[in-house]
Amino acid sequence: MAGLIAILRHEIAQRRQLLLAGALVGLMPFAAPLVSGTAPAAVPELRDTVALFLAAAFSGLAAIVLGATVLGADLAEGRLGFFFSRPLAGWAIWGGKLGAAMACAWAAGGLALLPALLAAGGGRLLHNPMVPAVWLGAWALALPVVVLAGHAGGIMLRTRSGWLIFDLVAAATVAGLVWTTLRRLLYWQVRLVPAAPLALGVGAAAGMALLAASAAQVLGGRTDSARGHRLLSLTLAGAGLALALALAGAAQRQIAISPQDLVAWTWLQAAPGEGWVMTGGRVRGPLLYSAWFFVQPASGRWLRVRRAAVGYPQVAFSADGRTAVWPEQEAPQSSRDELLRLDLDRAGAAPVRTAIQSATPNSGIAVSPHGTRVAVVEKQRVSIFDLAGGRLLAAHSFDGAVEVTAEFTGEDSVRLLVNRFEAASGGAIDVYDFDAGARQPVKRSSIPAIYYQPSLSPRTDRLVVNRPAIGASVAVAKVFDLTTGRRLAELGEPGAEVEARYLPDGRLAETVRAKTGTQLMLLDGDGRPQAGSPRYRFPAGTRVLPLQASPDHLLVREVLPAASRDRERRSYLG
Amino acid sequence: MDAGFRIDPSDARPIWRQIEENVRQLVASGILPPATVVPSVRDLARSLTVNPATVAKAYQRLTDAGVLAVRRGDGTYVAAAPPVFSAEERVRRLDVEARRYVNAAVTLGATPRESAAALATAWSALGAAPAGSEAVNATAAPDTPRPRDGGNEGEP
Amino acid sequence: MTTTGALAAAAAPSHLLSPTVGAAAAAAAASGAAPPLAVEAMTVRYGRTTAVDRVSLALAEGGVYALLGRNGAGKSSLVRCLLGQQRATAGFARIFGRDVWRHRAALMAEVGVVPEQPDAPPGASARRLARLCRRLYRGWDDDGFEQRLRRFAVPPELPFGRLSKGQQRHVTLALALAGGPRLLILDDPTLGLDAVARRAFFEEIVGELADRGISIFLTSHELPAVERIAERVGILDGGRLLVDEDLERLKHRLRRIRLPRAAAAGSATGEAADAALEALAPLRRETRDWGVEVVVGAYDDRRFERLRAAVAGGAATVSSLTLEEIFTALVGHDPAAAAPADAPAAAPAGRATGGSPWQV
Repeated sequence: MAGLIAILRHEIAQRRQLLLAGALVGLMPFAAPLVSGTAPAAVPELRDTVALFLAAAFSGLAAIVLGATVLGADLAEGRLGFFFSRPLAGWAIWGGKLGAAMACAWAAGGLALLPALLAAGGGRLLHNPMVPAVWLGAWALALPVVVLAGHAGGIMLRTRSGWLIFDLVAAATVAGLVWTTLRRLLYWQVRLVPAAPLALGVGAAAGMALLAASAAQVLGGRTDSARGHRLLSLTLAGAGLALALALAGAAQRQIAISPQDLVAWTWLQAAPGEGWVMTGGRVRGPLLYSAWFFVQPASGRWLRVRRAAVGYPQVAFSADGRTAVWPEQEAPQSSRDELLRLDLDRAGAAPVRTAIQSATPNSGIAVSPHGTRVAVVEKQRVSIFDLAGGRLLAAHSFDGAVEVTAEFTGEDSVRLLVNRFEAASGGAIDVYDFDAGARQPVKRSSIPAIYYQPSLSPRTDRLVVNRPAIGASVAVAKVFDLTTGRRLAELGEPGAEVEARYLPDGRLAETVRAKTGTQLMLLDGDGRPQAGSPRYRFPAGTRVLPLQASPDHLLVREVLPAASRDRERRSYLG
Repeated sequence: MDAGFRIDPSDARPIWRQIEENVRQLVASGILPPATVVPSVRDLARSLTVNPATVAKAYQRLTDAGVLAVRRGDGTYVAAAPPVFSAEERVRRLDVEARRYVNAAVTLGATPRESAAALATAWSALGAAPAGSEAVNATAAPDTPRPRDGGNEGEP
Repeated sequence: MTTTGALAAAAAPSHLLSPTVGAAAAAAAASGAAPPLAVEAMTVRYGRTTAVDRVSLALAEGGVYALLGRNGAGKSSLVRCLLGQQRATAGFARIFGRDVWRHRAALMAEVGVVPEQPDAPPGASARRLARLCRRLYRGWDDDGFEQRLRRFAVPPELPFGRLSKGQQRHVTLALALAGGPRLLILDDPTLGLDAVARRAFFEEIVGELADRGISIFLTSHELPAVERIAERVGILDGGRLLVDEDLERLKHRLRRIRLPRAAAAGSATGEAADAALEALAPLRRETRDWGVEVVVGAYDDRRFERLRAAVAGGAATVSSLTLEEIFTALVGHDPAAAAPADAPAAAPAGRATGGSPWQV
């Protein structure tokens, strides 16, 4: 220990001039405002910022030079023997010299910052808006690593041994491994957050590797520069490869996941026929990212899929439940999507790229009933593609500020609901039919209503628009015939809020919420009451959401009002 | 300090022997009278830049032979009564040196008369008789260069 | 005094140039104490080049061992291994019985090192270096250090890099001695020094030998100085230790014999003379106008007398060699053949090939 301290003191004393230079650098920020001629009010901030940057640059430069020379210069010029022919342990020489280099780098930075710090009274400097205080701490921690890197670089370049080639090859290999791992992580849309602990981890790993390598070089190589370089290179390459492989392994663990690795299922969409669902949620592990899968609950089969560039998934199923189409981010960091398709009923099927591109996010995707055509809506543009070959069959752009919804009415024909905004009336919905191969859509009708909480009938021939209560009005539901544009029914009752939704079997479920209670009734597709259909009553204040129906059962979601929270309940009604 | 003699590395005799014989000569010729202090081992070694162990060996032999005497704490001195060579020893040593001289003469191509004349000249240069008591041996002047080669050289 | 002891313990002399490997080490081991420095079958290889090839030697307590060798013979590699700064490919270096590579830090407390190139930080003054070193050694002699600086006229506050070469070496020696070492390792310590500085340096060494009985291992090209101070000598050639012997013994058995041309006449004497000469282990021969000059490796008086008797006119003469002449005779290869560090196994240098020395 005495030896290490003796070396420390000696090496620091040898570098007095550097500390003097640091003090001089510390005075430069006081000259900066004079040179640039800023207003007196802004002078302190300018001075602080200049001081921070100068201190960082000076200490960084000092760290590199100190690291490269404290041992490397002595070794290259044959002066390391002076220490090794004294009763000094190898680790005392190593620790004393490198420790002195680190201490001088810190001192250089500190001295360069001290005058500004005293002038600013400490607090203001540390709360400089351009440079957060935590960066100062991070820089202070980074300086020793810079010293070690300077040492390693100095040894590699000065000893003029063939091991430099090995170093370059090893560095390229490690960099290649790390790059490949990062690209994989980006491909699978893993977000590398939180960033600060990751950066800290990388820095610490690099620091440890460099520390071990420098120790090996000094303790094992002693005054033999060739042997020292060899030990340094082997240690660094070994550590680097080990870390790169560990990183690849950890990344693999994060990437090679199954639905079992989700900690929360926040997304669920079922294909018609309910053979398959698309589901997804947050993945276990420290990295914050989500993953999505196609899962067939009956067999347990699953397939991993990626999300669209925009950040949430989107899937459209064909009506026969045999084809799924969804957008995936085209390439890591890209802002375009590519559509993929999957044959759900074929065992052993895998996602297939369709070569159909779209912007992200798109405004809607629809698949034809038998899964041969897909319609993509990007803002005001509608495109119909052949799904198998990816060939564009028809496309049209609408003018003005419109929202377009597309639904297939047949294998080759698409019904478009174009929601037009008009200042005077509020808006209208134009109904078009667009056939694949047609030059442009054909307008069928125009519905004088605003596209509020719409519900489209399964055969896309009827539309319910639910207008909420505004001011003194009440909530009503209106049923329209899309082919003619005629209003078929208006459902409303005084003092009550009425909502209607189409059930998948074509019936209309009407919910009436009144002060006395909530009622649920089933109507036919045109909005007319059906004879013999039951009325279901619920307590006052309940919101009811009809979900699915079979001939003799109806699944609804009840949201019960309570003092602090709503409670949910699902019921089957006979 | 000047030792009064030099070590010749090309001499066949080891250094300790050279020191020994040189001291003997200095004592015999009266340049180092009895009871004179001689340099310590350390000082002589330094001035000759030779290994002190070599000097120590020479001094040991000289002390054993009675030429030098050590007084504890006081240093090393020339003995009060340095030893005498016996008559046989004197004859033997003279004989060795005479052979050497004759060989040198032969190498130079000198005649016996020329070499005898040279011998007489050397005697007269020294003076009729050596200084000091009859017990002291005189061989040659201390700094006569010894022949480098062309002669038989004795056992180390 | 241990010189005589080492001499007595030397193995039986051999005619040929084989070194008395490990003899001193064996003697020290027999006496029970670990020698200050011992090298055991050390080999140092760089890739396919062998810089040090199975070298063994030992330094006796209080003794002076000089390792000689031409540039590139492997001395630097050996010394680096001795200092625990390089790991030998095979074999060990031990200081006071402990492996230097493993126990370097503890052993250096008792060792003073003067390297070939001054290696102190150039920006530090002699005083600052002393301040650093003071904390590392248990018995640091600051007064002695200051005295030496004064004696060598070294300004104590001048940065090391601004001192002259000689001053730098003196400071290095002063730092090495102030720690109170039991062993000094010097690697060509007087390289590039002028005569005055050189003498001052060796005087200092001699003083330490006399005062403290320090053990010294040095490598040097200063052969005249080495032959005055060294007790035991090793000669490294092409990585192998050709000679590992007491200097006295080496100088006794390596001699120069001159055979005048006149003595060569007469074929009747040729064979006997050849045999007698072979018995003396000739290493090199050179022909001159007046005859033949042979450097032999196994001189003793009896063998020489046999030669003289066999030579017509008895006109063979013998003389001794300086260490420099011995060194040149042993490792002075032909320039064409001088590839020292790469030579896998250097054959004993200058071995006279067959044929009588009379045939010119």
